[in-house]
Amino acid sequence: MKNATIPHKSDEPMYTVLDPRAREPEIEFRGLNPRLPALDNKKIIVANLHGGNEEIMESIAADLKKAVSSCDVVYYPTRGRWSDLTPEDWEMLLSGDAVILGHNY
Amino acid sequence: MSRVAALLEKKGMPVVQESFEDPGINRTAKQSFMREGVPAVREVLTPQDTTLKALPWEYTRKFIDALTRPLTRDEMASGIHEPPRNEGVFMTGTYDEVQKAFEGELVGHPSIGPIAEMTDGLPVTPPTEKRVAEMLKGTSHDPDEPIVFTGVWNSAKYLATVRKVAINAVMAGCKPEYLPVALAIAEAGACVGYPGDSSFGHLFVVSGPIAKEIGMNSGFCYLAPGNPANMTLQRAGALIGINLGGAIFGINVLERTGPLHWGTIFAEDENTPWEGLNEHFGYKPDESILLSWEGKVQLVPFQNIEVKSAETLQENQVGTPEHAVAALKTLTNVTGAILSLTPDTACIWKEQYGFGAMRDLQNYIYEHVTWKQRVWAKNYWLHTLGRGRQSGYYTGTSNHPDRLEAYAVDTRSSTERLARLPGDADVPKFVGPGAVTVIVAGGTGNAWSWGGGYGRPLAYSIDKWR
Repeated sequence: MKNATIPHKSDEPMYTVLDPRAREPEIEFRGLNPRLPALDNKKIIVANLHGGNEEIMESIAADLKKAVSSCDVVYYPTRGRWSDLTPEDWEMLLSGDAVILGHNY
Repeated sequence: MSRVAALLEKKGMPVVQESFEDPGINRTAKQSFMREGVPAVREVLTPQDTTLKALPWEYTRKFIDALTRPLTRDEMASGIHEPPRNEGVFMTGTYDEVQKAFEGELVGHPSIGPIAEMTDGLPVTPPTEKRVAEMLKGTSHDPDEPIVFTGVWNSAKYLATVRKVAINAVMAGCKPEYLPVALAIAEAGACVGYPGDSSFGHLFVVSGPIAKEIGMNSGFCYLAPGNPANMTLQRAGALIGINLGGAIFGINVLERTGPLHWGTIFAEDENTPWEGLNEHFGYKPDESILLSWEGKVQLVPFQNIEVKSAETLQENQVGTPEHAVAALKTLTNVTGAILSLTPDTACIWKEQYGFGAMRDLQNYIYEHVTWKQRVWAKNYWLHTLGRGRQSGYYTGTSNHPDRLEAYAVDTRSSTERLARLPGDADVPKFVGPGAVTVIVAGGTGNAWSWGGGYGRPLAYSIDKWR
């Protein structure tokens, strides 16, 4: 009798449902820039975009300088915050050979 | 940050990004890189511990490696990224199979457990072609008409249509007559949250005739369950945010606690002693609009929990504008106020305190809700004072400049506002009187609730979606 009250799966109604999701547009992308062969005599900007732990980015710059003494490591706390950067920030970020970007957040 | 990293790569600069080791943050970053047109920028993932003052030496080696190790084939590749089109039929199955399919793989974030992919975690109404066709009768718009998402916190550019909103409205349990409101919610950006630590939410208020037409609650318990229109439209906002706005809890919505309001929606009561919010925002009294707050929005329900005597009972149940000022002074990091008064309270305040026009109450709140200069000067959220200089919600601009003049905001920076003032000077907390939004809603009797948001809400026509 128990089976009589519980519909068998084959008796259940079937639903054909529409996809509720949007789609993203196609995106043209380009590859990353070649890495540096070595850091000797290169200028590396360590940029702090200001997040939760200001000291960490400064320490990354100091440790990098210790590891590669001929590398010109510039610690740069941006004037703008997160993605809202000033023209001076962009000028500085584009002035080196590579950038380490972070905010430890 | 990921956007800056991608832009630098596109300008020819090799970049390494420092980022917390967190599956949500890391997946969001990878999405951002591709949206900005570069493959995954190299990252060094660091411990999620803000008490650290320096990283172990091994991380220096990781940074050097990321700067110097030759690129892989995938990192060098250029081309066209083609996301799935997500069109037409999703699947056919029993009720349970449909629910399981919409829940998806239930992967989610390790700290919050499995997260449903296409639902809010609750079972949904199966969006069959027939139900969606019935829903689409709620609007005169072409089902294939695109919806432009204007949410400010999610940079994704998702392509959605009126039909997609209707599908999500069906899933939420909406009735066809609710669809114009759901479409306005979609136009407002729906509920997409914030990919950071703060608790950014969404609050909507409907003003105008449609509220009564579709049976929205503007009276007793307007913040509580029970009303089909309020509840299903709130849910539609959440589902639209997930499926059309790309919100994934624990992945690109990483709020450490989550917000108080995630699409809470209710109606303004028509028994207001002042002009309706539709008129206040530049529309006609017979036009229906949606007001949308995004960001740090809160509305604290009326309470009388501090009643200790007949005297305090009277104070708490009636409340005065002075009580509202005291409450609003406690807000932090918002630039606008929300004050919700029951119709009775609004009438009492109008008659007894002389707020003949809504503008009078807005001015009163703006002038009296202040912090001392010395408090502002050492407050972490000092920068909110200067938000008159920024764009979007923080300015006096409107999304309908033809209808509503910009409200007068103090556009000076925080430094300019404070520098020449003495320590005991009273500095207004909000960016201008227009950033104080007064809503009349609630049951009979005296009660008020209060809160804040970023400036004033943006207004969206509901009638355009009929």
